Amino acid sequence: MEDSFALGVTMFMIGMVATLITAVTIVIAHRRSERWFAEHEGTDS
Amino acid sequence: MSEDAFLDPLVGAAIMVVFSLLWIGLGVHWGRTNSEGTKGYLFAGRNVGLALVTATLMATWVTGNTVLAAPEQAYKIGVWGVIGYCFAGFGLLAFAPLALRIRRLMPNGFTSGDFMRLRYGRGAWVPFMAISVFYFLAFLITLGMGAGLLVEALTGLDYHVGLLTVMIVTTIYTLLGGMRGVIGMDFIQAMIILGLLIVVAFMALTTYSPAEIQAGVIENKPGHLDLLLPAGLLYAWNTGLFSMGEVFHSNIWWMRAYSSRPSVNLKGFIVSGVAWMTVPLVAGVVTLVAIAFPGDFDIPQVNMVLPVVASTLLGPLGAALIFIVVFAALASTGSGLLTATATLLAQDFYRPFVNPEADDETMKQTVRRLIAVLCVLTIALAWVYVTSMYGLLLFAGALVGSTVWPVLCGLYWDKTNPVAASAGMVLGSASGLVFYFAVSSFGAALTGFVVSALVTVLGSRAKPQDFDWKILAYAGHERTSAMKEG
Repeated sequence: MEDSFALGVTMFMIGMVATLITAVTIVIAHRRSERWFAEHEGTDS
Repeated sequence: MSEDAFLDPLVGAAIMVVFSLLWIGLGVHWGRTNSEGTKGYLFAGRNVGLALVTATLMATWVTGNTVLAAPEQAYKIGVWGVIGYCFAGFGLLAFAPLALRIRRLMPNGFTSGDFMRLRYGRGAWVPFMAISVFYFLAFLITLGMGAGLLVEALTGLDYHVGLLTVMIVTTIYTLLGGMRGVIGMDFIQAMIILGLLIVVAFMALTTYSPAEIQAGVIENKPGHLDLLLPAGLLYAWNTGLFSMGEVFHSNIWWMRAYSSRPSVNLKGFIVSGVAWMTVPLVAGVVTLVAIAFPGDFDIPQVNMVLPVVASTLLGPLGAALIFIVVFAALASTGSGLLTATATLLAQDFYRPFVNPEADDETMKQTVRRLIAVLCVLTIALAWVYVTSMYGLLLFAGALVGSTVWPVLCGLYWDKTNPVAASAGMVLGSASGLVFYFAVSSFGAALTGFVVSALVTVLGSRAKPQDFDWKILAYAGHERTSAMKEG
């Protein structure tokens, strides 16, 4: 199975897309979170 | 005793004795400064700065596997082996923003289990803890077996000498020094690992130029530079996603997030992730020398490529340097693992089910007792070498990959549905295991990761919930009130 080029390419593409989506999600969520904390600084969070 | 050992057994034993005494002595020294109950013993005062945070993260993430399996993958599948192994640094990089948010939402939190229980309730806590405990046990067993095998292969000393030395020394300095000792030791061990690897790489790249190495690899193993090698493609992203699973769920990294100053959490994880990538990169590139010039190196087994290259280029000194690197890597990972596992068991099992009234001192003593019990358990389970270390970890990858999105959504998205998160972990783990057994161990983490992400996100979209973030601030609250504040 590990010698199958089709399987290798498929898993490579899925892995790349999954990593990208996760990375972008984390960056967007982090920015929103920081904005929220900045706006509520000094208040009860 | 092995006749193919790289070091004289007496020299190997002398190195182990010297470094064991050094680790234990420093553990005693740092243990004297622990006077703040669990806050001091388990979280080093929750005020660790950037340099120490970066070093402890990097040293803990450099395991025996990083030093020996990364070169092995480079030797077996070439350039993808090097790049793919470096992707494991993604785990620390991706966790950096989460570490900051964890510290802000749960300033007094103890464990990753705290978060799961408060965020999702018991339904998700149960599969999460099952995955976490299995992963920690697998990691401890592979660490113990790795210690025995590596000491045997490098010095010729018996398997059990390495297993016992690494586990007992690590346990003693962890018990004595607490988190302050673990982090201080990690700093020293990180410097040793990076410094000595640079010496080996410098020697390799001054003996053979990069152009000669490339020409040699093209001549001997042209497929090793092929970016379309099927096994390489399958391996590439799996490592990165597996590492995210290992980091996101694991109490090792949550405890470091709780221990760091909030202002350094983000930077510490990012710098350590990048710094960590240099270890498999350097070790892997050095390995390419052995492929380019096969006549110069006699490789008895593939996971010994780096020691062979180092000892051929630098003589016995090279073998001694690699032995010290491996010994430091095993000790730093072992101490982090023991502390994190013991704290998880104390906080998530002992406190709620055995002694709900446990005060701060009782918890501290319970963690210490559990560290000792885990040491004995690991030695017993690793006493007989029965399975491939990396194979066991890849099996765990199918499970931990499924925790990434439930943790991510739970930390940032108030609409996340607890049932969807729980189902994501269960179905993700199941599908990852099916892939592991039916197709390939290399894609198991990726499969668990993707299935769990889809189930968690789609399930929460179908039935969104509202979560009040203030609830997470209760993590560790009852313990804090009983604690002497520093």
